[in-house]
Amino acid sequence: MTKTWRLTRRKFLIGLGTLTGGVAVGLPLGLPYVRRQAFKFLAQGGIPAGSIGNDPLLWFQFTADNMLNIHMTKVEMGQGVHTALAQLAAEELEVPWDNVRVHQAGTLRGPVDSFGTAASASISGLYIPLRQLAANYRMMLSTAAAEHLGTQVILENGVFTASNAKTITLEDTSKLSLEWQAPEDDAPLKSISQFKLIGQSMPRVDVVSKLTAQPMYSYDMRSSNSTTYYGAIARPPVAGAQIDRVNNQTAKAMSDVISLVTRDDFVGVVAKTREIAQDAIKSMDIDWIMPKLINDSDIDALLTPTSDNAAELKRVGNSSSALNSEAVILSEYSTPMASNAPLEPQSSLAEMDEDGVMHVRTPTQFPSQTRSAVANAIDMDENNVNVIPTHLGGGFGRRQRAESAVEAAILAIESGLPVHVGWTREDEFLFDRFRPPTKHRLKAVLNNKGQIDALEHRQSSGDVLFTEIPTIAASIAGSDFGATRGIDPVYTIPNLSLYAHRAKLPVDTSSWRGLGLLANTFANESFIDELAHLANEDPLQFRLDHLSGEFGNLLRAALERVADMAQWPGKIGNGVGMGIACCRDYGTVIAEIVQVNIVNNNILVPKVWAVMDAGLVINPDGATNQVQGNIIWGLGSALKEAINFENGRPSASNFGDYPLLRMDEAPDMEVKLLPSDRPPQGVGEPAIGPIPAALANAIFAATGKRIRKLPLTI
Amino acid sequence: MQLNINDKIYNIDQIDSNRKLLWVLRDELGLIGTRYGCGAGFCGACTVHINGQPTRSCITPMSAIAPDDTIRTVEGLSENGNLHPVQQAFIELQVPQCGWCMSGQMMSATALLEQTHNPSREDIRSAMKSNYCRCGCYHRIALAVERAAKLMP
Repeated sequence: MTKTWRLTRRKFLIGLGTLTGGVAVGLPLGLPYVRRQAFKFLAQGGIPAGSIGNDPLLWFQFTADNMLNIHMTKVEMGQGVHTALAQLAAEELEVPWDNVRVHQAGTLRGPVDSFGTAASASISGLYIPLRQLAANYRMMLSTAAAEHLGTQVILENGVFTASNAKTITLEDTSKLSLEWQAPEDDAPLKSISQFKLIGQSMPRVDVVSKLTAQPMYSYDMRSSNSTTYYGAIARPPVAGAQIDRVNNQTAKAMSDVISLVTRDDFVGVVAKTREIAQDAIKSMDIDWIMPKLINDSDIDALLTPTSDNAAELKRVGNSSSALNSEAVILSEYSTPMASNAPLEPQSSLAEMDEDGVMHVRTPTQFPSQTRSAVANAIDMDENNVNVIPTHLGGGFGRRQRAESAVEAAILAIESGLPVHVGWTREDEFLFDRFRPPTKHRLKAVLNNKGQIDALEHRQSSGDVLFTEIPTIAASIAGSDFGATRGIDPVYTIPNLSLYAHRAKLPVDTSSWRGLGLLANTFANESFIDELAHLANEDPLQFRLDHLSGEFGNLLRAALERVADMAQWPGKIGNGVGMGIACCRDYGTVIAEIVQVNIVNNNILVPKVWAVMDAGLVINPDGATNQVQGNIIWGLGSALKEAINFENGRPSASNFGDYPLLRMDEAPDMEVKLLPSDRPPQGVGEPAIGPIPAALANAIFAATGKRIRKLPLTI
Repeated sequence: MQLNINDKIYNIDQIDSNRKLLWVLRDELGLIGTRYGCGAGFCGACTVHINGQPTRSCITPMSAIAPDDTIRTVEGLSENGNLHPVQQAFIELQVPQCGWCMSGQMMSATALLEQTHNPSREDIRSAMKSNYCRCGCYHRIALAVERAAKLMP
């Protein structure tokens, strides 16, 4: 499996080389400097959004009746990206919205995205490139239509009209026999005031399909021209165990078992039904070589920050001397491991066609990397592997890898049959790639005006993105930029130090919605609230007093607006209170207020208010839906979600051990998006950040109790 | 055995009576609108109606289904190409994100609205509390069920 993440690795290496400049010539600037610059770039500049290529015909295809098919590289996992990207393209192509159809591009045909769908970066990253591709194509079509009709043309509602009243549709124009050439200079893009689709809450392109039981998810996939068979895999009792010896005599004798597949460390079955395949696996007698069985205490010991594994992320002024004071305020926070638990367990359909191409329909956020993983596992050329992402029944970062794609491909190539492999919910929990646990030690000193003079945040986290990149890049970067996401406080503080400690945990941890944003914002925004109370200042006013600069002003507007909506500070006492928190996530700022009501030591949340400035918003209703969902995610983490380890196993095997937030626990909510002419920023994750801190701050307002550990309990 | 699903008779040969209704619907009959989320009755993604009652098909063995039982799945919500009021309201409110839980949500909502014509918000929260939505669309689901109540004939 060594090739699995080669593309990612190369990308991150190039990225780091570019931003540091000095890596290849012996680190003349010194490793700490390079690391701080890397942190600055990744914290503020953002993650690569992926390439789109320069061939409009890969993306855009006009069909009979003048419809436009758009072939998307980005994967739809509920975030609404297909709708918003279609708005960008249709806007510049001047295609009526009703004529737009969206398709997911497979890796064999159509555009290939070198990155993937993650980091709330699809819209911010493709806002210019996709519009430019569409505008250039429109220019090519206009030129062709003008030549064909012999005079200048105007494009309206998908039809070119010439001054002599002759017309030609976009579709007919696209099929003219010409030598098509891309324009030498880019076509002009529309200005914001010319937008007809961008900024409008167009209905989701997938909404009707999703509500009328259409087969669109990986678990729905069946071979279109042959019987589908079902695969099951022998899964170890704990992650990391390896097969020692297999006795599959009973399975061999079972009727309706079609094929038994045994490879190094892989035992699978193909059968006529899903249940028979699973029964055949259960009938096998397998000895496993067990790894060291992990317990919470092992993880906790590794997570405790020690000074010898710290990477300095940022240094302003001299916080170490300022914090060397008897008046230093110290608080420690922690967050547990958590599960992604997308509601659709992963599954994949693999099927070889007559031309020797392996087609794999799979729920992946990273189609290119999944193609490499499949090609490597079945020893085929990548050009003969077609990974076709389906709609995802939730992604949230877990679908960075699609293990079932590899499993189905192995079973399909060994059996010569179309095979569907579906994970169970128990598989999802046992082999999840968890949100890493974190610990945070924050120190501060207030000056005689009650303002923050110095602040230090030492964070310790399991890996997030370091699990995907080679050791060398990790050692250069020093800190995991997934784990540190959101650690840089939004406030102006004269002496500030940020440190990250890498805990190499014996558990598979990876991307979870917002990566480190939730944990770091929980620590930062709880601590700010503590400082405000120690300074005898209103928590809102204390925050406003520490804001300056461009993003400070954006946050000020968001905080003031949300306070106005919630009528901050509301009623306080007798178990009732409000808490406020905010964060910046790349170019997005968000402020949120949580109302809490403590009844018999139960934490009830009747209402949440949120105000977000994410630049120009392509689809306001879709962005609002993302904020609403993130509020639920934030509350679920604040109140419920935690994974512990005992004897090598996670504490959850199904939702009975890992309850999600339910509708009767969900608050009423009011969401406001601030108007902005800034370019579009991410909307899929930022709103998750402030929620746990806002709730902890509300509990403090209501009860005087400060809770510094997630999930919050009284 | 014979199954009456969405007013249509399906004949099935040799079904293991321990097999769960969910997988017979999905893998044998191609009625993939009923979704799998947990296989243990926790999440509600697999909700169908048996004789009008919302039922978890993932824990319902075929042996529990009587010959005269009527089964309704999400595929049976729309009639003659007309969307059910619950589907109309969920579209109007643009409820789904990933959408995987939506069949179960709509089946629970339909069962509620067929029994309670004018449910309060508390009625809705109580009837729908065992349907998980991992994307967190609860606010819109509640609003959509209220809207559907108004659209119901």
